[in-house]
Amino acid sequence: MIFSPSLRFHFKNATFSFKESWTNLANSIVSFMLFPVFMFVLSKMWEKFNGQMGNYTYKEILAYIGVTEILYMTFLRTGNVMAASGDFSISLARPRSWLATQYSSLYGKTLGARLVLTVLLFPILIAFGLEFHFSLTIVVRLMLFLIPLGIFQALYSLIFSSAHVRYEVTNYLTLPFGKLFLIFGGVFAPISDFAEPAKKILLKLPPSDLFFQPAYFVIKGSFYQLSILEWSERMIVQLAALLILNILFFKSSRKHHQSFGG
Amino acid sequence: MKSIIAKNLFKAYPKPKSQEPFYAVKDLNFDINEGDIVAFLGPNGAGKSTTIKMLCGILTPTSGSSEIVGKHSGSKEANLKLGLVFGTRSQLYMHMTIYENLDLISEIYYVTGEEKKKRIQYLSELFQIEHHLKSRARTLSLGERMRCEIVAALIHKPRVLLADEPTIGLDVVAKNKLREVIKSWQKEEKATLLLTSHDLSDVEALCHRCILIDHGQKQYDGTLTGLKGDLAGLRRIQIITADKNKILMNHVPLVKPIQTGDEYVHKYEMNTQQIPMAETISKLSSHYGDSLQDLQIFEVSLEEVLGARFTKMAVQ
Amino acid sequence: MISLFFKAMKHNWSAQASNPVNLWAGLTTMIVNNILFLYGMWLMMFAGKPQNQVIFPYYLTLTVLAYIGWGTLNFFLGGLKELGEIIDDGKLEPMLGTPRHPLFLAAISRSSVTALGDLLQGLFTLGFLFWYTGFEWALRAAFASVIVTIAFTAIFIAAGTLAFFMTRGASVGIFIVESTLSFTMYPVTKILEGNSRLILYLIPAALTATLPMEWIENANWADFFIMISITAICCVLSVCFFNFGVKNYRASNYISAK
Repeated sequence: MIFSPSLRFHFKNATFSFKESWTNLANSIVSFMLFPVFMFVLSKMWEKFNGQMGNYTYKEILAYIGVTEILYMTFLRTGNVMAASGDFSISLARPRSWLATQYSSLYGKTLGARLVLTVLLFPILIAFGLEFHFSLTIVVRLMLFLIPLGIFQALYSLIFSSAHVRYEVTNYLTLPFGKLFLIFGGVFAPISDFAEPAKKILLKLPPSDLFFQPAYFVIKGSFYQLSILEWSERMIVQLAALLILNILFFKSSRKHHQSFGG
Repeated sequence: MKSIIAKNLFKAYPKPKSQEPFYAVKDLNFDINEGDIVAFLGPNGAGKSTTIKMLCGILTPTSGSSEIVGKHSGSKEANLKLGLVFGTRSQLYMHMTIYENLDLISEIYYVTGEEKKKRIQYLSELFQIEHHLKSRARTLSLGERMRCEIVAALIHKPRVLLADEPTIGLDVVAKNKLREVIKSWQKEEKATLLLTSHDLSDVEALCHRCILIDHGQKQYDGTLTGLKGDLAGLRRIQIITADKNKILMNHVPLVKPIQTGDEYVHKYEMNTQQIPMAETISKLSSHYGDSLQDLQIFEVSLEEVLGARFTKMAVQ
Repeated sequence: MISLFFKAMKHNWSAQASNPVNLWAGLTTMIVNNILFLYGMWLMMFAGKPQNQVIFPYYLTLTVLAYIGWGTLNFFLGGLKELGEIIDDGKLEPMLGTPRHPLFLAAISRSSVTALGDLLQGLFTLGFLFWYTGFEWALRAAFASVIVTIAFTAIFIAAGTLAFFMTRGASVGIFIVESTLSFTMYPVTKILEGNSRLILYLIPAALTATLPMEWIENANWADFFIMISITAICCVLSVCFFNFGVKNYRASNYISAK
């Protein structure tokens, strides 16, 4: 097939980036030492502020926060975004698409980092007193989501990388944009525990599809007020929008860069 | 007074327990007088940068000591008398203008008020950076930035300047300019300069003396001429002949012909310590007669001398 | 030292002001970022939950401590947050050859645009706190903010120093300082009871949240002296840790030290 060598290259590139998290495992583990502390503190916060609503048990919420923290801690990392945009100039002289190369690299990095954390999550859940079978179910279900969710993470990061090539101020925008997902994605507490009308609005927004819904599925086995087909449809729409935005930002940045330099 | 003294300097880097430590610098001794310009040479991994870092206090020696203008290396008093230039590492703040950089660096070295203003003006004129003072450091070319780096290193009127690869990455014009201004500065202020460089034209242009180091040990310490050693008398003679059928002169034992592949260009190698130049030219003139069109004599280059030395040191 | 500090501030900010678009973008986005975070926390904890309102002043106070402490430090000594990166990139090396302390030079080498947004937000919230909680509580919060600034300094220095001892120590250090900020903003001491409170004294947020809040709430001298003395000790220890890192680096060189 005409695309095969290209696909092979990008797969190799993604694999290389994926391995990065695993090459210095000791460092990765040290970096995430505070992960269980976050889980503990946020779950206690939920228990204090929302526990009376009775939608979840404490152990479920501990697992929920573990999952959302894994997804959020590896979402839109400014360092990765800036590194990708740094390669732009030289990529124009190479026979490979910058967009595809950076996408495969970002995807590999995200998947690698999330997999390390997911593997770490299992002993942490056991240490917190969750049952072996429940913990294993959580981890396995989360692993099923890592591959599709990684696609979206990489696409969001790539939009910022493309924009950063043209607009330097973009490096200030990654933080507040990521905060939108933190707040509206139900990272600290499930959206189902929010009061109306906030709950209704937030459930319709993209952040809930990327954080709340997958985390809810991981602990409960189904999506919240949504079927698998409906969630998939929403994700496909989001995917289409992200792909279009990526192409638009990339083309605009490339044109500007080639006209006026970096 | 000695500007720089290195006494029995050793620098060992630890290795896993089963292995001997690795010595980057081994029993290094030298001293440099005030006002000297000395080249510090050696192949990659010889220990040059480690030695420079020990002299300026960035690293502490495993044993031994060093002094800068009579003060222990790394002490505040020594650092006040020392200027540093790293070709591969900028000391300027890229987001500030050159003037702001010089202003801040003056403050770091306790140079303030009128003295600071005069110093900045004097050095800006000497190093020809007056029109760059309002430019941000990141907007300057490498050559312009290196001159600013050197001005920043000299702002406090140090007695010693340690320059580690100051001309790295510069083009021929920028290098020549930098050498000129360094020479002018050194002539004016009579400070000591210790220079490391892989570009031997820097060494030939600026330095009177050279210290050669390899595997952490001093291999040579003396004049550039003395560095050539046995090769000092080596000469290469190039003859251009009008007669393409003229054969090379083979009958003079101490004048060795070299194949060039060009029928009109003949080359020979001889040593003035073995056979006088006059005799060689006389014999060549007799051999070529009227067909001799041009004759050029070349000394062996410093690159070749050092290359031969480094190769010999590697074999040993 | 003071004149060098002011000169560095002046020149750092002159550099920032030379690109006003960048400056305003940085300030605005940080303020928006902080508002989003505060709104999200409010949405999660207080919106439609009258039973939680009693914790609201506590939450506001933590916001003041976090933003004023973090913002002040990054605005005036912005290089400390990036100490790990400065060490990792080798930029600390030339500072070791000057007659000034390298930690001080690293600290004044940068000033953060966005930190001004944090500081302004903290001051604004402090103003609101004066109205909401009354003078005494807010005054203690204002004083505690100064102590929290020093506490953040100690944490930044200790976290940055890790770069001497670990590969990619800079990113580990950044993670620690950012996590400390996050923990400072959660009303954790109101949540944890019994033995689980112990954790509040083991993570860096003990200095930036737990101890200051205990004094602000209880308003007694014992808590005051504990807060001051532990913060001071941690500050001294962190500088000693940095000096140890430099000594280790000088003795065995950067590559070998790791």
